[in-house]
Amino acid sequence: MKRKSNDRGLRVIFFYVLFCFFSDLIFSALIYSLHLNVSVYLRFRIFTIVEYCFLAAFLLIALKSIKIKRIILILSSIFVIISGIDLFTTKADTFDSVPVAIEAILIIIYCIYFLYEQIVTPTPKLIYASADFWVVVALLLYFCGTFFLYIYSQNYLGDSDFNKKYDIINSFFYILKNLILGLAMCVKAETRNSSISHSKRIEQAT
Amino acid sequence: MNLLQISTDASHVSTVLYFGTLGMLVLAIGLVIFIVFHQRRVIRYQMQLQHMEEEQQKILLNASIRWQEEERQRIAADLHDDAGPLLATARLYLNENLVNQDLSTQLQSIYNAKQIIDDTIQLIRNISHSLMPPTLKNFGLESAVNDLFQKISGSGSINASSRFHDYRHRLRPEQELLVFRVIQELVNNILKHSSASFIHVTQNYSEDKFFIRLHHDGRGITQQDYDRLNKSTLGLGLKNIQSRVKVLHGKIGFEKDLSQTYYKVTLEVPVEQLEVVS
Repeated sequence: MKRKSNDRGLRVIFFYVLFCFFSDLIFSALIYSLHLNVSVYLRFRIFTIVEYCFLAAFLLIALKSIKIKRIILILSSIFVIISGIDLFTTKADTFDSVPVAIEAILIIIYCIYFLYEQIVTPTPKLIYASADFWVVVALLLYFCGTFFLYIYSQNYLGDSDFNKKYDIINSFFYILKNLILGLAMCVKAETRNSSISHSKRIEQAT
Repeated sequence: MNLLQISTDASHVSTVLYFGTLGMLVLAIGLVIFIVFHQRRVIRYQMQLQHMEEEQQKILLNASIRWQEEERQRIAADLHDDAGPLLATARLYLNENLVNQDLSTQLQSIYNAKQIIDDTIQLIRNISHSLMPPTLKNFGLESAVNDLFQKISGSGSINASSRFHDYRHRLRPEQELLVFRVIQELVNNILKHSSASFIHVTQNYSEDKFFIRLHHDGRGITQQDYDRLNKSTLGLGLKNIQSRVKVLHGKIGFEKDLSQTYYKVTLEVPVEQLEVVS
C-alpha cells in the first residue's frame, strides 16, 4: 500500500519535472498557435498555480495524517482563490510575488511537517533511504533559496543588475532542485531493485 | 543625489537578498541534517532496546526451560525414590512363595501389600495435585488460594489469609493456573526469604482489570531489586513469575508500603469480557 502511494507520489513529481522542462515550450506554442498577446508574467502566474497543485498533490500523497491532509486541501483552495484574485486584480506585467511567497511558505510548512512526521513515526528504515525524503529536501532547498528572490522580483525584476542576480540564484536552485529530484528517482530505483533481488533470493531459497 | 539613493537602495536589496537566501538555506540544511541525525539516533536507540528485549527474552526462556527441567527432576525423584520402593515392597509381600505359606501369613501379607499400594496411590495423587491442584480446577482460584493458605496457616509459623472482593466471574482455567502459580511462587519466596509473620492476599476488579495484591511484613524486594534480579542469572523463581506475567499480558509491581512497614506485590491482569468464564 505504502509502495503504491510512493509510486504515485514520484509519478506526480515526474510529471511536475516534465511540466517545468516543457512549460516554456508549451506556453510559447499555445501563444503562437492561438496568436495571443500574453506577457511573460502571466505565464509565471499560471506556472505558480500549476506548480503548487503538483507539489501539494505530492505532499498529500506523502503525508500520513488525515487531519493534515484536510488542512492542506483547505489551504490549497485558499491559495488557488488568492492566486486567482491576484491574477485578475494586479497588473499583468508584474511578477506575482504574493502568490509565489504564499506558495513558498505553504510548501515549506508542509515539508517541515513531513519531516516531523518522519521523526515521530518509528520506523527501522533510514529516512534518507526513502525517495519522498529527497523530494522534500529538494523542495525545501528550492523554496528556501528562492524565497527572498521572488519577494523582491515584483519590484526589481527588469533592473539589469537584479536580473543578473535573479538568473544566477534562480538557475542555481533550479538545477539543485532537479539534481536532488533525480537523486530521489535513483533512490527509488535502487529500493525497487533491492526488493526485487530480495524476493528473487527468497524464491531461490524456497 | 537620486543616483546615490538608487545605488544605496540596490546595495541594500543585494544585502538582504544574499543574506536572506543564505540564512534560509542554512536553516533548511540545518533542519534536514538535524532530522537525519535525530532519526539515526532514534533507530540506534530502538535497536538497543530491541537487543535488550531479546536478551531478556533469552533469559526468561532459559529460566523457563531450567524450571521445567527442575520440575521433571523433582517428579522423577518423587516417583523413583518414593513410589518405586513402595511398589517394590508391595511386590515382595505378593511374591510366588505366598501360596506356600499358611493362611494367616497370606492374609497379613495381602493386607500389608494393600496398605502399601494405598500409600502409593496417595503419593501419586499428591504428585498429581502438585502439578495441577484439583481445588483450582474444580472450584476456582479463590478456593485454591484459600486452601493453600489454610495449609500454610496450619503449620503455625505464619498467619496466611486471603480475601477475594469481587470474584463473581472466574478467569479462564489457563489464566487461573498462571495466576495461582505466581501466587504460589511469591508465597514460597516469602516463606523462604522474608521471615514474615503474616501474608495477606486481596483480590479486586477494576476497569476490566483483575488485581491480586499481596502484603507481608517480612524482608521484601522493591521494583528495582526485581528488575535487577530479572536481568541477572540469579532468581529463577522471579524469572518464572516474569514469564507467566508476560503470558498473561499483565504487570507486576513490587513496592514498600507508604508506612514502610509492609512489602506489597501487585499483579494486574487485563480481562476482556470474552475471556471471563461465568
